[in-house]
Order: sequence, then C-alpha cells, then structure tokens
Amino acid sequence: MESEKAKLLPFYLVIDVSVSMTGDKLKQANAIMPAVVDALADAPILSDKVRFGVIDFGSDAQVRLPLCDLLDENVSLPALTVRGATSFAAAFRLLRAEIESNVKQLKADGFQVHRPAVFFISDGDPTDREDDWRGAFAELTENFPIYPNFVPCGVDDANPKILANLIHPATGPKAMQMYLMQNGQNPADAIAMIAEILISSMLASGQSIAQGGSGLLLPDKQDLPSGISAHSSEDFV
Amino acid sequence: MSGHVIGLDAVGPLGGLLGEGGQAKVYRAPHATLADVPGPLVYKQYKAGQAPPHGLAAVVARRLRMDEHTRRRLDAATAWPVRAVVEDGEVRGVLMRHIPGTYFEDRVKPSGVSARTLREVQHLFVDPLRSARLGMPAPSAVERVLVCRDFASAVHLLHRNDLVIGDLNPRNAVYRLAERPCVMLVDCDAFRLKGAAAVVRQLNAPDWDPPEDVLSQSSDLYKFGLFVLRCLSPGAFASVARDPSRVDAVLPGEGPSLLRAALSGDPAERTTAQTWGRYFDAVLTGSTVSGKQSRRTADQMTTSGWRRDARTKRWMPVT
Repeated sequence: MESEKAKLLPFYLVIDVSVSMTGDKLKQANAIMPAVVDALADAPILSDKVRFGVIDFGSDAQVRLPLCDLLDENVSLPALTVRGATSFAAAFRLLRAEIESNVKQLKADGFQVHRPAVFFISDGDPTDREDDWRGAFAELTENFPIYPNFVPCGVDDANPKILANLIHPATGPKAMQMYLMQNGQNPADAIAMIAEILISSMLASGQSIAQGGSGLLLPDKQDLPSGISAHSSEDFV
Repeated sequence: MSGHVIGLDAVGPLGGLLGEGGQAKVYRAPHATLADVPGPLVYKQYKAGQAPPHGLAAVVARRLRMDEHTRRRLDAATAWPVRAVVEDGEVRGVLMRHIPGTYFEDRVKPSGVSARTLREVQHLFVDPLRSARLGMPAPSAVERVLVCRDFASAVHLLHRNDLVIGDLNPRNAVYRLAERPCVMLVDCDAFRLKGAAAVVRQLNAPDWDPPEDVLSQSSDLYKFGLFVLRCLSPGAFASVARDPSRVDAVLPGEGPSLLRAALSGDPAERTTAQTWGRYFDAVLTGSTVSGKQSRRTADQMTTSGWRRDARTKRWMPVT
C-alpha cells in the first residue's frame, strides 16, 4: 500500500575530537549518545521516523556510528577519543559521502527520506586551509540535491564568524540557526546543553513529520537552556 | 461565581512541577481538594496567550451535570478538567485529577538511569521484545485485547455523553495492565461538546489524520480504528500503519471487516465504540464464530487465561 511507505529523517551528529577536546569536554561528548538513546526510549515510536548516525573528526574524519535505529538491540555505542587537528574539510567530505550512500540505501529499502539533519559541534577553528574547508562545504550544500539542514554549534574557542558560514540554509523560510556557548560558560556544560537542544529538536521533528511534511524543527529561543544562544547567519556578516 | 469556576487563590500554594508542554505547565496542587473528585489534583497553568476561551467552562460544567454513576466512570476513564481557574476574570488554568500511580512504570532506561514513566499508549505499538529491553511492559495478545476493550468503553462513554475527543493520539491516552487492564485519556481540555466549537484548536497528530478535514465523533472512530490496528500488530512501523490486513490473522470473526469499516473514507460507515466493545467481549469469551482459521485465532487469544466473572463482570485470570 502506497501510504504504508514510511518516511525517515536521517539525523547526524558530527563532532570535533581534536586534542583540544580532551578532558571534561570529551566526557560530555561521550554522554550525548546515551542521552539520545534514553530520549528515544521514552518516545519509542520515533524509531519509525528517525535514524541516527555519528561522525567524528580530528586530523581525519570517521564514521563512528553508521546511520541506524538507535533502539535496535544490535547497536553498540562507540567511545569517542581525541585525535589530532581540526579538519572541517575531512568532516564535510565524509558526511557528504555518508548522506549520499545512506539515502540511496534507505530508498532501495523502500523508504521515503526527509532532508537529512546535521548537528555539527566544534570547539575551535579549522586547521585546514580556508579554501579547502569552504570548498568541501560547498560540495556538501551546493549542487547536491540531498544537501542537509546544517546546524553548527560552537563551544569554548570556536570562532562564531567561521561557524556562521556553516548555517545552511542560511536564509529563507527554512533557514537554520547556529548555537553558541555564551561567554563565561563551562564548555563541557555547554556541550551537554547542545545535546539537549539536539534531542528536543530530534523529538519535535520526529513527532511533527507526517507523510509529505518535511524539515528540521529547532527549539524556540525562549526554550533554550541558559548558557546557549541562538544566531542566524545575518548576526555575523 | 458559578460552581465550575474557582479563583486562583482557592487553588492554594502549588507543589512541584510535573510536566511542561508548549501550551502549559502542570503542577501538583496539594492544597486543592474537591468533594466531587477522587484523589489528588493537579493544576494546569496555561502559558501567556495560550489560555483557552470560554468553551472550557462548558467542558467542566458537562461533568458536573452528570449523574454520580456516570461522573465516576468519567473520572476513571479520563483526567477530566474539574474546575476552570480564573484570576482577574481571565481563565489562567484548570484543575484536573492527578493521573493515578498505576499508570506509571518504574523502570531503568538503557543508560542505567532509573525513571518513572507515564505509560503512554505509544508503547503498545512497539515490538514487545524491544519494549521489555527499554524497561516497559510487553503485554500479551489477550492483555492487548483487554486494553482495546477498555479503550472502546471509554470512547463509548464520551460519545454517549455528546463529547468529541478530537486529537486522539499515542501520547494523550495512558494504560495500565495491573488489576484490570485499563486506558485513561489525558489532556482532556482539548475535548469539546458535540455541537460546540473546541476549547482549544483540535488538531490531528501526524499519522493520525482521518480522511476528512473536520474532527467529529466519526473522526474519533477512525482514530480508534488506527489504535486497534497498531496496538494489535506491534512492531516496526506499527505506529504509522494504516493497512488493516496487518491484523487479519490476529482478529477473529468479524474483526477484519469491523476494522475496514472503522478506517472507511465514509464517516457514516465507521464502526462505533459500542460495536467494538461488544466485539472484544466476544473475542475474550471465545464466542466469535466464523471460519476455521478465525476460530483457531480466537482460541489462541483466549487460552492464555482470562474469563469474565459473571457476577462482578471483571476479567479474571483463569487458574
């Protein structure tokens, strides 16, 4: 039956594991996945709606949790560890390849697919050349029909002016936002707060998407945890 | 001031926050007691701009006009708004019955954290093995039929009293299995009286939309049909299923045709809650007859040990 064809939202966490993430920040980063699983365990029918995957990046990027139903009994959560520099370019290229193959796979399995959603968390500047990461981001977001809704999140030494370039779409009715740690906030706590935003966004999107509906829902500004601020791309021109 | 409305000062100091949604916050109201309401109360405080207009008083008053027997049944089947709460002439919130503890599950979440979880009916659509892994109950086929039976009687009670549920969805009904399996409808301030506008805008939850645009008792029946379908065929993508053939092998007798009628595009054809109730009674007593295969499934559903006690009319485990 046509109406039985379920529609899934691929949801990716792309997270910085460069050496600056050592310590409490890494600990909080590792707490994100179990928190997402617990949230899904409270709303288990969202497994009929959402698939979740994790990519980490340092000098290179790796798929740490291939896109999956997080409540499946065969899923085991990876432990993130720090490694090397901060290559945004490696993260964007791997993410593009993953999205392309994951969406193809889901469609081959008979599903409809919503536009993928990406939460990108970093604590510093990219260490690759500017034309390199910009080029890789353009490949991910331009002339790529299944470009993701991209939500950059910055903590600690992340540069808002650089991250603001990653908000995608940057304008229009479906414009995304950037989340930043406010000054004076503990960066590890900020990662936990961003995880809360990711989870509430995933729940809200999963609960609101019906057949034909689309898109990633971000929380209202007044519902954000204190210590995190939301910005549009115009805030940092 | 009429009996269905009380002043905010009469609610007294509020207790702890129990929950928060886009529209309201829900607090314990330990100092509020009402002679006509069993057990403790909660106060649902609407957020600024979210207070419903005048229809709420009618929903509250409808309950107070019921005879005691009907009101007791309503209070068992729903967390009904029992008083509208006003301040400076404006509706600020509503007092409701606190959902009894039997509708909560003490569990351990996958991360190892302990939690007390409201048993929303969405959990009934999940593969039972998965539910067990997530620390939630994994009801048997018979328990599922008992839940459907009780839900049908709750819907019938509301419909018989000219009420429309509207937004029947997997999160605004909760269930219990202990004692007698039961369903309780929550968030009832979104209900409306037949023939009147809704108190708050009635919406369709995703995957629960009926074919027609307007919500009525007929759309309640369509959604109840989806509930039966999804509750009796738990597993992957049950929560979005609409194909009645998923339960052809599970529903004995006339069940498959009742379900097809419930999901009909013609609102006038839909199986009523009362018809569902009688059907589930027949399934549970093993008295549905039609076709060899149906009888076999009926046997499968009734052999795990429930019968209706002739005197108390309660479902009793067979020992």
